[in-house]
Amino acid sequence: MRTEWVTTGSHGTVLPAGGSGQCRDGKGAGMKVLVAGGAMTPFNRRKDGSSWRDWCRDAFVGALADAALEKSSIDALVVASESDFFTLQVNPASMIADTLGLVGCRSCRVEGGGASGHLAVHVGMAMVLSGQSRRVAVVGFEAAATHLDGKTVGMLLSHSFDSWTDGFTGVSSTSIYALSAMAFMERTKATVNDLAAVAARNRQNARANPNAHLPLDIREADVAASPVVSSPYRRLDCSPLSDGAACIILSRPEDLPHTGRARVRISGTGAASDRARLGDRSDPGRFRAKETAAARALAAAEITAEAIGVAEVYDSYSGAQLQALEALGLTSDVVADERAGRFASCGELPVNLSGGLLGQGAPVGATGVAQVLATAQQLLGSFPGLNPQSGPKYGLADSHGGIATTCAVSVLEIQ
Amino acid sequence: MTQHRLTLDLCMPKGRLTPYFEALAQGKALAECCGSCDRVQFPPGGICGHCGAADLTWTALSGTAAVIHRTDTPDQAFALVRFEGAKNSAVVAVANPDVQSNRGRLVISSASAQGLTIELQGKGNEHV
Repeated sequence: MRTEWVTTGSHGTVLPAGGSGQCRDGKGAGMKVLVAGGAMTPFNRRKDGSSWRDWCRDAFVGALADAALEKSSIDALVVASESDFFTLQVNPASMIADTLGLVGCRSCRVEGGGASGHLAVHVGMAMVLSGQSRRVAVVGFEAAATHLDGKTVGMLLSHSFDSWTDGFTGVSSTSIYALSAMAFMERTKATVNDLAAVAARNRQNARANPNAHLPLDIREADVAASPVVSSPYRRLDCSPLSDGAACIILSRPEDLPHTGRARVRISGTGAASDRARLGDRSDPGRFRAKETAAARALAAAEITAEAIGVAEVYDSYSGAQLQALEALGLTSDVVADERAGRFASCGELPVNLSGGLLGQGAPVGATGVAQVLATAQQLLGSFPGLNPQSGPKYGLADSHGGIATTCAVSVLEIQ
Repeated sequence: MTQHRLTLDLCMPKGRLTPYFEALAQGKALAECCGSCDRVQFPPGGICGHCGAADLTWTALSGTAAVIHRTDTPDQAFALVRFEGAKNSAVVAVANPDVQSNRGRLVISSASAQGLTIELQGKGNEHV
């Protein structure tokens, strides 16, 4: 198959033109993939003695119940986790298949940094669309908060970029994101107050979410008063390291029991990658691969960004949420829209009603799965927290690994 | 709860980027020059960041760099810089974070032989 390449940007950033969004996801054939059900554990710093295997089982059992399915009906397992260093479990997919009683099923593991969970959803969807599997369980997990000390986790995550250059400078993820945010702020005139508003709002949104890691009653001033991690980012601008798991089950409508409940379809997916090193990008403040991934997902869903009524966006840092919203095409002026309250829970386009990574938390492999689950539940009005008031038809979930180096976007549609 | 300690003593060949890392260990900036479009890039990437060509040759740079953005942690500083002669930029550690300057020079990293580190310099240096 010939690979097409598209060139974006004045400096010729080259991005592959393929990706799951390019194939229209079976639109023409009338093929649909539904989120049959899903569940997640609380995202937090576990102190109850439970293990990551327990979390995966809890999420899986909850998802089966939500989907009204028996374990025996699952014929494939896709596992997402970022790092075996956190668990000392190489080949986690086979171990989780064993733990969940899915021996004999097709199983695999997907890894793409912070996008691992979301890419696993895309792989699960491809399995259903291809006819390889009828009901796929996608399980994401990470034990990032308690198995290792924070300094060691930070060192490991610093190798999420180019470990031969960036990683061995000793630079942290926060510092790389800070440098990117500074470029974004210089171009858009966003201020530290705009960043703090995102950090505070997502923590406020998380207060309604019983699974959230950081449900905090804070304001912008609290963010500004928190310790500097890497300027301009302060502690409250940063998402936490979390433990937890999430699971969704994907299937075609004809392979699911009739429950009388509405379900949500994944109507478009897109993925793309960018240069790994920030310095190799024509604009280090711009998430170009996310632009491409979003365009592909929207095209596959045959809608425009204006149709999106709710979004779960990858806010690993407060500024990253604004950078993501810009790249996703959900705003023509992200700073003006942020200041006008457009992304607030009662705004025109509520963003991160779950609390996002900043509030709900970020067990890396589980994050993208939970984002897709939250978006689906918000469209149904069943998210156990804040739900959109307008009853939107379409929602968008967005994740990335590295610094928007590996990007995954999905468009969801209520049926 | 069980405790485990894992110690890794990694030995990683750098393949065709070996000349770059050997120069870096001496505090020297060895860049790639594209045989197709003449673009110079530092740090090197194996393919041209502009045209995608793979016929690259090594070329020495002066090692001086201009700071584009700088971020400070409580005890360190890192910067996005552009080395003189290069078209791309690089994330570097700052060896002397107490100095405020928009110019620097590549130095041997004290933390690792592989990381890019600059020492800020030039007139107008101001101690914070």
